[in-house]
Amino acid sequence: MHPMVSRIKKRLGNSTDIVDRQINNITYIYLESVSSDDKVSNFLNKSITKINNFDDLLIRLENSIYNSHITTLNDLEECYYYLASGYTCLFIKGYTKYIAIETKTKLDRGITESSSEPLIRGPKDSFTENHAINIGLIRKRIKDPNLWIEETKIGRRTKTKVSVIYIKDIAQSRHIKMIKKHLSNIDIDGIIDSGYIRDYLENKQKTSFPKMISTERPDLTCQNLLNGKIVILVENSPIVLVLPATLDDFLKSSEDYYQKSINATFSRILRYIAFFVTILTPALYIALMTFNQEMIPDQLLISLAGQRSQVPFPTFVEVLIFIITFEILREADIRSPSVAGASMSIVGALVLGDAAVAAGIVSPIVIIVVAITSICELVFSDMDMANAIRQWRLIFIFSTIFTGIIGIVVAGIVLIIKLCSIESLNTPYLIPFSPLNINIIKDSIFLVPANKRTKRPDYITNNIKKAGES
Amino acid sequence: MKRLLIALTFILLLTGCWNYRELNDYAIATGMAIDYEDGEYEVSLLFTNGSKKEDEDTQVTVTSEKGKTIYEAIKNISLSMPKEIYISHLSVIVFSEDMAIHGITPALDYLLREPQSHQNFYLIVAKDTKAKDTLTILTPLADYPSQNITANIKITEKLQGRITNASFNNFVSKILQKGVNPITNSIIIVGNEEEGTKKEEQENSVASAYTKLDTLGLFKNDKLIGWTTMEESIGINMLLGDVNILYLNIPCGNNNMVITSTSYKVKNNIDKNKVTVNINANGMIKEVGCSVNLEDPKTIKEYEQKAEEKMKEYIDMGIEKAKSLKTDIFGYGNMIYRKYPNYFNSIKDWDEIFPNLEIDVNVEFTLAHKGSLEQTIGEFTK
Repeated sequence: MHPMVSRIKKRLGNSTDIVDRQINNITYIYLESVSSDDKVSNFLNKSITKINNFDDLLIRLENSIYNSHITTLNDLEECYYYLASGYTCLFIKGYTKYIAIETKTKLDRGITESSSEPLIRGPKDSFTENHAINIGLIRKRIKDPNLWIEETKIGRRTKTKVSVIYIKDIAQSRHIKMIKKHLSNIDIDGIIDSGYIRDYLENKQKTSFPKMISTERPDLTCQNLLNGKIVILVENSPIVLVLPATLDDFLKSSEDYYQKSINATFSRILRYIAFFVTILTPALYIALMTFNQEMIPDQLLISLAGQRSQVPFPTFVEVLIFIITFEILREADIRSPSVAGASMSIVGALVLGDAAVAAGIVSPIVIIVVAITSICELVFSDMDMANAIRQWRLIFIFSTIFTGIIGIVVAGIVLIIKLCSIESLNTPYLIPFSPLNINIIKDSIFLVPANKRTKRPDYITNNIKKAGES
Repeated sequence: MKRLLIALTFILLLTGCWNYRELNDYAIATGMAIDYEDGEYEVSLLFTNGSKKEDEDTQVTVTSEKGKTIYEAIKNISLSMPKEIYISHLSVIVFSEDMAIHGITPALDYLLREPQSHQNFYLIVAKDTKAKDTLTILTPLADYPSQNITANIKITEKLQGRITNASFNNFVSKILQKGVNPITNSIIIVGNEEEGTKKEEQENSVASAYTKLDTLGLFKNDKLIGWTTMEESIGINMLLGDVNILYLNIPCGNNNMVITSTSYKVKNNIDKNKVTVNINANGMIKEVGCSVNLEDPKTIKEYEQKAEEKMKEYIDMGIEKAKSLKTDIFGYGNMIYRKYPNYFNSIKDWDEIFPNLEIDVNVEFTLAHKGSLEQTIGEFTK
């Protein structure tokens, strides 16, 4: 046996998935858990009989195995990365350099439909855990030579591939530089999902609002690439990160561009309404019910007074009880297996909806308030956005408990200041509203027809012309 | 974060708005009635609380107490209340005739001064009955009496020329301005009052008692000085321009023809001693009880003239009434004050001069529509 092989085996602790075999002067080693036995036996065994010379072996392999990646290595440390990636390493007696040949087995699910960001009309595919497939899904949509992919390996132990993808002549080089700098500063044990690195990519500003889009939709990713944004793909993660992001990006859907623009405008206005409704409704309800009753119309007030009269708790306690109950129900629904879904909805609808009112714990209007709030929250498919909204909703509620409408106004001012101060890759978060940018408003709350949208957003790119005459 | 904390501290310091109240702690008063007897005010509040159970109706109670001042009377009411009295949602205030004759300044001052008071309610005077009783009559068409009265005023005011828009703000602004006096609507109770207060009343198909809007009350400053008749009410409202739909009964054969106005405009020309009022109205025929040829332009002309005469007749009655009571409810004094302030200021008491003011009324009425029927039934069958 080649001495290096025994060193490798020792280094790997004689793990059970190591397979090594000697044929004449050649010893090869691979990990059966990540390699395909078929490939090893079909291609390798047949090619390597009776060769003693390293160069001969290399030539023979290159001439007989066409569809696999072959490389020559010297450093033994590199061997572990290749073995774990599904390579087979070949050692020849008398040589310290060795050959690594790809014999990967398929450990991925296929390309499936997106489950977290479904569309009615539009491409159905979504990213998978396979890095090459993910890049392929982007590459097949943008066949421009300027689509550049830069790869680094991050993670001391996981050695995960992280690719930065951008269109060279649209994306700003300072953005790319900044991202690369952030990536090079990452010192982490392992990266299991793209979520691991997002904290490193954000600057030090503390905010709950997401500063990058995370999506599993290749079409949305490509729309953003074409606008000059930069995409970060992480191996083994179906979620890609897109930078820079503004608040407006979270109120858009890739589907908007597949519809008539006027209809998309309507949906977008609805989303903006939902954004404010879901943040403000419970706070507004508390303010009106406990401080500013004079703002409620007569008949509604009398009806509300009747509903409230059997509830012994203060209004904000009532609202908090129900909001927290709903959040728990939602969390349970996400975590629980789908078979438990039916019983969950029965408990949710009957116990929370009907029985809580009958028992006099909450008044019916609170159920309506919480229902409207949570329905509007579901408009936002981005988890981080939904969490930020949830957090601000609570801030609004707590500031209202003490001061009513004034609390809402103050919390609103704080929220606006906060949003204005957020920057994602030096891009103002509230653009195009603050600073006002008419060119971008055409594709934010409104969506003008495609033939009128001839410019890329100028806050991301200097190359803003994308169609039409100059 | 530090800045946020500072901002939050300021919130806590702004205690002026610190008025946390649960809705359960409030007794919501939606109507107020003020009676006056032997130097004491009797204030009645109509409390409306929503029903506790879904299938129950709204619950109403009227509580009244006496006091030397209105505030005292309200505080006396709160002695019997398990909740805080909440008057932001008052929608109507009923004064008794005695109270209106005595002068309603105390009530107006209290309602203007009290921060909780919202000041968008109607003022109305109860005629021939205690003000309190008007708040106790239940009707099947409205959930509670105050809603009944306000909706009655709000809707009828638009559909008839007889009712004026006597909102609190309107009334107070007229008192505060020079050379104009306010008017209000009046309300009467028809039928058996005692029966009308019962809960079953809302299920009866024939109401044993109901409230009804009546003629106008003319004020001099804050004091009621007289009632009008129906015709005078119409005339007064016509001069005030407060007419949305006016209807006129014009004799025709043995019967009457009803003509209503569809558009109505008043233009005043002010001079020091003379006011010229030009009224321009379009109208349509609503009902014809006789047989006339409506296709003949001469007939139309004839009835236009008759309508003009009728309108003039109403207006003259209204002017006559106001002049006889020496109260300028039309606000001509105010218009003169705006145009000739020096002249107006040289007059000591405008209301003494007002009866001598020459009011010249020109009416122009155009019969523009005949409704869905072009001809009369009588003409058809000839």
